Amino acid sequence: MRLLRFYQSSVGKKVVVAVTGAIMIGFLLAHVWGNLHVYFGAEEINDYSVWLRTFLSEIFGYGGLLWVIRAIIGGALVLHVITIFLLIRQNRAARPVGYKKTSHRRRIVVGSTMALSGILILCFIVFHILQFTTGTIHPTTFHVDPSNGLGVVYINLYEAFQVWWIAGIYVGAMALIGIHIYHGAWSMFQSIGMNNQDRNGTFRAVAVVLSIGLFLGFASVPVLFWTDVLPPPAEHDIAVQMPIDESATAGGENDQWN
Amino acid sequence: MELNSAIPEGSVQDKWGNHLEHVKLVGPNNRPSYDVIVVGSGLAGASAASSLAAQGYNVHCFCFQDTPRRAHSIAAQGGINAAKNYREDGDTIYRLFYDTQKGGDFRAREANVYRLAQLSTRIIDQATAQGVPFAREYGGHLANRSFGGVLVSRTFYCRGQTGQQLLLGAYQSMQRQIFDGKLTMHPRTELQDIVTIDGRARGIVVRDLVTGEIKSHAADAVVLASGGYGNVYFKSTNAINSNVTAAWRAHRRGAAFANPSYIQIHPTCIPVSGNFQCKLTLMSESLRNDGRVWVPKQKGDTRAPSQIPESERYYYLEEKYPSFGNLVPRDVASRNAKLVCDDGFGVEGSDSRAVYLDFKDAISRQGKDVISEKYGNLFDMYEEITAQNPYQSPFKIYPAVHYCMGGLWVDYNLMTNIPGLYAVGEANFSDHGANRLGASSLMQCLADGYFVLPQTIGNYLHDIFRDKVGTDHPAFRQHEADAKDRIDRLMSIGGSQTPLSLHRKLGDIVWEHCGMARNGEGLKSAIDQIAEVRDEFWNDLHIPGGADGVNQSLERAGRVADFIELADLMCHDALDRDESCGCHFREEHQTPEGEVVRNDEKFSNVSAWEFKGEGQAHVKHCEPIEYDLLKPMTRSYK
Amino acid sequence: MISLTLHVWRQKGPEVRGSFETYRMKDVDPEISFLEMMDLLNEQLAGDGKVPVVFDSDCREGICGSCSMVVNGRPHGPGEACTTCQVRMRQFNDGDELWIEPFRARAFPLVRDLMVNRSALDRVIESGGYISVHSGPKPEPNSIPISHPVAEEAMDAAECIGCGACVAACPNASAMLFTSAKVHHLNLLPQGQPEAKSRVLNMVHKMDEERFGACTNLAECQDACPKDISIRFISAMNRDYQLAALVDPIKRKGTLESQ
Repeated sequence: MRLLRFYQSSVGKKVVVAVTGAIMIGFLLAHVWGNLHVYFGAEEINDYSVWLRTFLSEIFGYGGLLWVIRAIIGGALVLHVITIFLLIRQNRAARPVGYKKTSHRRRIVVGSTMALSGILILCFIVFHILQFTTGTIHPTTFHVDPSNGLGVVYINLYEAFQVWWIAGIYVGAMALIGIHIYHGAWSMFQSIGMNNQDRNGTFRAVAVVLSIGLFLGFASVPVLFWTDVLPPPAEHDIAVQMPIDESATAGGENDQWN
Repeated sequence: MELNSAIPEGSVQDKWGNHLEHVKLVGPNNRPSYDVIVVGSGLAGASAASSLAAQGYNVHCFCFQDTPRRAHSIAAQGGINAAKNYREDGDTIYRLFYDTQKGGDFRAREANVYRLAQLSTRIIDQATAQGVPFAREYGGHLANRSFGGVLVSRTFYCRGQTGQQLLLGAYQSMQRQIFDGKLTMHPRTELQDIVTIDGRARGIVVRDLVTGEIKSHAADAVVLASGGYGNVYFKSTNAINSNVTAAWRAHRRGAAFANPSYIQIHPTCIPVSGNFQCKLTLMSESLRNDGRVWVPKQKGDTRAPSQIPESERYYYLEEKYPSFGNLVPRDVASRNAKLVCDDGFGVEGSDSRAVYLDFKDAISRQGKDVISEKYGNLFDMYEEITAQNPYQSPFKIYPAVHYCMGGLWVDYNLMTNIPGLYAVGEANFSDHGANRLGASSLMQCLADGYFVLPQTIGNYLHDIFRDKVGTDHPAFRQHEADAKDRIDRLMSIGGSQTPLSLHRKLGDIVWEHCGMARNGEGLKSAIDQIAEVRDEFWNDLHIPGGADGVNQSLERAGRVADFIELADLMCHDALDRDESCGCHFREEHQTPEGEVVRNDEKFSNVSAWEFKGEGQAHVKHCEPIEYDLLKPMTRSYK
Repeated sequence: MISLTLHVWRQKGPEVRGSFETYRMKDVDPEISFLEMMDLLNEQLAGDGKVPVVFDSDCREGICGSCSMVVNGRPHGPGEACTTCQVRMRQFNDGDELWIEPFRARAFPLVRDLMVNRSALDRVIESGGYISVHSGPKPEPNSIPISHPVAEEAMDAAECIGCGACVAACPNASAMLFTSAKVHHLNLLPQGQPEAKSRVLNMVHKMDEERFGACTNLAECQDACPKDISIRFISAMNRDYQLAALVDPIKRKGTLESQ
C-alpha cells in the first residue's frame, strides 16, 4: 500500500525512473567492461562469454546467474519505460494549451529529447538482442560453437562490423545512449535527492564522464573492426561455422554480451 | 457622535494587563457560532483572521488580490522593531514606547503605544515559531540592525524582505485554518459597502471581481484591515491597487476618520523618472545605516558625483543633526531633502529633485562583500530600474509617499465608533501619532492582529450572543441596491477621460499642496481644484467594457471616486490643524532653521471627522491626547 | 523613444476561444517599465473605444508575484531574475515584435486575457506549507540557535513570491520548484521538524492532485524564477519525500498504548 502510494506520486515515479536508470547504467558499465575483452584477442572474448555462464554456477547452475541478472535488467527496463510513459501522459495533460512562442533560456535539446532518444534506444536494444543474442536477425552469417551452442563472439562481431551500415547503426545508437545518459545520470542524482549545491558540480561531471566514457567504450568496437584495426579472426575459428537452425535459436544460450 | 477611547484604568504600564483580566470572553463552545468578517489579508488581516479562526470563530476573509499572499505588507523591506534588548545596548519597553512617541511628535495615545511596545517582543517569538527565517548571527542567535530615529539596535530582519516573510508566516497560518475549514477565503473580491443595522456593523456588500456579481455577507463583527490610502497621491510606494474604499465606505456609514492629513513621505525612494510613471519604488531606510546623504555645495553642479571632491560635498544631515546624522527620522530626512532641492542643490536629472546616497565610505571601510550581503538586493533593484550601478556611483534618492498614520478612529479595543466594526493595521490611526518610525508598521500590524484584536473582540461579541441577522434582512437588499446604483452611475457617465488620467490629475494636486509641506493658501486652492476634479470625474469619466466580469477600469474608477472625497477631507484636516507636527509641516509654523513648531495647547488632540452626508461639510470631533508617563517636548535629533 | 508591435492574447473567458490581437505602440519611453507600457496600451485602447487588456499586477516592484505574462516565450519577459513589472522598455529595440501570452497550465485556468487563476498554489500551501502555532506565549527564539548558513539556506528557499513563473516555464507545467521551496524552507528549520514528514507527503500529493506535471530536471523553472530559487530544493524535497514515504515512522515504543 505504502509502495503503491509512493508510485502514484510524481516524485515516487521519478525515483523509480532514477533507480531503474541507475541499474541500467550499472549494466552498461559491466557490458562495456565485457566488450573491452575484444582488444585482447578472440580467445579472451570467447572465454569471457563462457565465463559469464559458469561464474557462480555452483550456486545458480550453468547460466543461472545470467538469467537472474537478465531478469533484473529486463524488469528495470520495463519499469523504466512504463513509468516514463505514465509521466509523459501526466506532463502532456498538464499543459493542454501551448505557447505560441517558446524561448528556452538554456540549451535543453538533450533534456527535452529524452523520450525520443529513449524510444530509439529501445528499438536498438531489440535489434541488438535479435542480432547478437538470439541470432534471429543475421545480416551476416551467425557462427555458433557446436561444443557449447554459443555464438562465436569474435567472428560474429568481425563479420557484422565489416558491413558499414551495421557499424553505423551501432555507433549512432551509442551516441544516443551517451546523450540519454548525459541528462539521465545527473537527473538520477537530482531525483533521488542526493543533489545539493556542493555536490552539483561533481554530479554534472560524473554524468559527462559516464556519457562520454560509455560512448567511447562501446563505439570503439565497431569502429575498430570496421577500420580493420582489430585483426580478422584466425582460420580455425571460421571452421566451426554452421548455419542457424530453429533449434539453435530456441536455445538462445549464445550471448556474449551479458 | 461620541468618541469613547475606552482606555482602561491603572498606570500606563499596567493598563493592558488590567484590561486582559477584565475583558469579557466568549467560551470555546460558543465561538463557532460567531461569524467574523476580515477585510484585507495583509499582515494585520491575515494575522487577525488566522488567530480568530484558531480560537474557533468562523472567519471569512476578503481580499481583492488573487491570493492573500500578495497583500502589500509583502513589500516592507527593512525590518520589525522589538524591545528584546539582545544587544544590551540600553533598550527597554519604555524606550521603544518613548522612541515611538517622540518619533510621532507626541500625537499618539500613550496607552496604545505602550501596549505596542509591550507586545513587540512576543511578535518575534511568534514569527520565529512560525518558521520566519530571521537573519541569524554566526552563533545562531537573532541578528539586529538599527533604524532611523533611535539610538539602539532593535530591528529584526529577513534580508530586505522582512514584510514578505512575516506576511508569509501569517498567510501560512491562514492556509492552515482554511484547510481545517475554520476560515473561508474570498479572493478577487472587493468591498462595496458596510452594512449597519441598528447602529451595529452586521456585514458587508462585495463585488466579485471575476463575475461582477454583487453579493452580501452577514457577520457578527467586521474587521477592516484594508491598509493605507497613500495612493490618493497617484504616485506612491503603495501597490497599484491599494485603496481607501473599505475605510471610506465605513466612514460614509458613520465611522469617524482620524487625522487624515498625517502622511509619511519616505526619504529613500528612487526619484520620479517620467510622466507615465504610476508607481514609485522605495528602498529600505536601512540603507541610511551605512550610506551618507549629500548634495554638491555648488548649485547646478553638473559633474559626475565621483568627480566632486569631499570638500565640495554638503553632507546636510550629518552637519545639521550631529548625533543622529543620517539616521534622523523619516519626516526630518524627507523634509531636508525637499529643502536642499528647493534651494537648487538637487542633483542632475529628475528635474533636479534628487540627492545622493553614497556608499563609497562604507564600501572602503567594510568591503564590498559585507555591503553586498547587507543590501545586495537593494543595490540590484536600483540598478535594474535606473541602469546605474550604485557600487560605483551613489544612489540618487528622493522622498515619496509611503504610509498613512491617519485612518479610521478606533478605541483601545481597536473598535471604531460603529459597534462591531473594527479597524486594524494601517487602516486605523492609533499608534504612530504624526509620524511613524521605521520598522514599526509591521510591529503594529502584527500586534493588532495576533495579540490585541483576538483578545478584545470577545468583549463585544459576548454581548450580542444569539442575536443573529442574516443576509435576508432588508438592510442587505438596500445596501446591495446602493452598490449596484453606484456602479451603474459610474458606467453610464459616458465621458472621455479614463479613471487613470483623472487619478493622475488628483494626485498631482494633492502632492503639490498637501504633500511634504503645506500652507493655508495652497490647501484652500487644493480644495477648489479637487472639487473641479470631482466634477470632471462625475461628468466626463469613460469606462470601457461592461460591468459583468473583469473590468479593471471600473475597479479603479470606484477607488478614484473615494480618493477624491478623501483628498478633500485631507486638505480640510491639514488646513484645520494650524500647527506643524511630525509629517504635517505647515510652512507658517517653523523655526528659522526649518524645524516643526507644534502647538500643544490647541492641537494636542486627535481630529476625528464625521461624515454628514453627500455635499455637506465634515464635522470635527476632538479626542484629547494626554500624557502621564511622558512630558511632550520639542523633538530634537541634533 | 521606440516603437513596438504587440501581439496580445485576448480571451473573454475560460469558455470562449481566444486569439492574438495586434497593436502598434509608438513613442514608448525606454525608461518606463513593461507594465507602464501596458497601461499606456490600455489608455490607447480606451481612447479608441476598445476594451483594455486585463492583466494582473499590484506592487509593481517585483515582490507581490501578481504579474503573470509570458513575453516572447519567457515568463516575466527578457530580464534576468525579475518579474514583468521590473522589466524596463530599454531592454527592447525599436521595431521589436512582442508576443504576450498568459501563463499556460491546466492548473492555472484562464480568467480573462492575460489573467489566470493560480489558486492551485494556495491549495498546495494549504495542504501542509505551514508550522502549526497558536498566538500564545512561545519559547524565547534564541533558545533554539539556528546556524547562520541554515538560516540563510531557509531564507533562500523562503524568498519564493508564488508567482507561478516556474509552472509557466516548465515544459511539463510542473510546480515542483514552488512546492519544494516551501517544503525545504520549513523542513530545514528546527521549528518545522514535528510536521516535516506529513508536510512533504501532503504537499506533493496535493500538487499531483492539482494536475501539475512532473519534474524532468530541465531547470527551466530555475532560469525563469524572479527570485533565483534553485532546483537543489527540488532534490532536497525528493529526498524528504522518499524518507517520509518509504521509511516507517518511529515505532511508538514506551508509550502507554504499548505497555
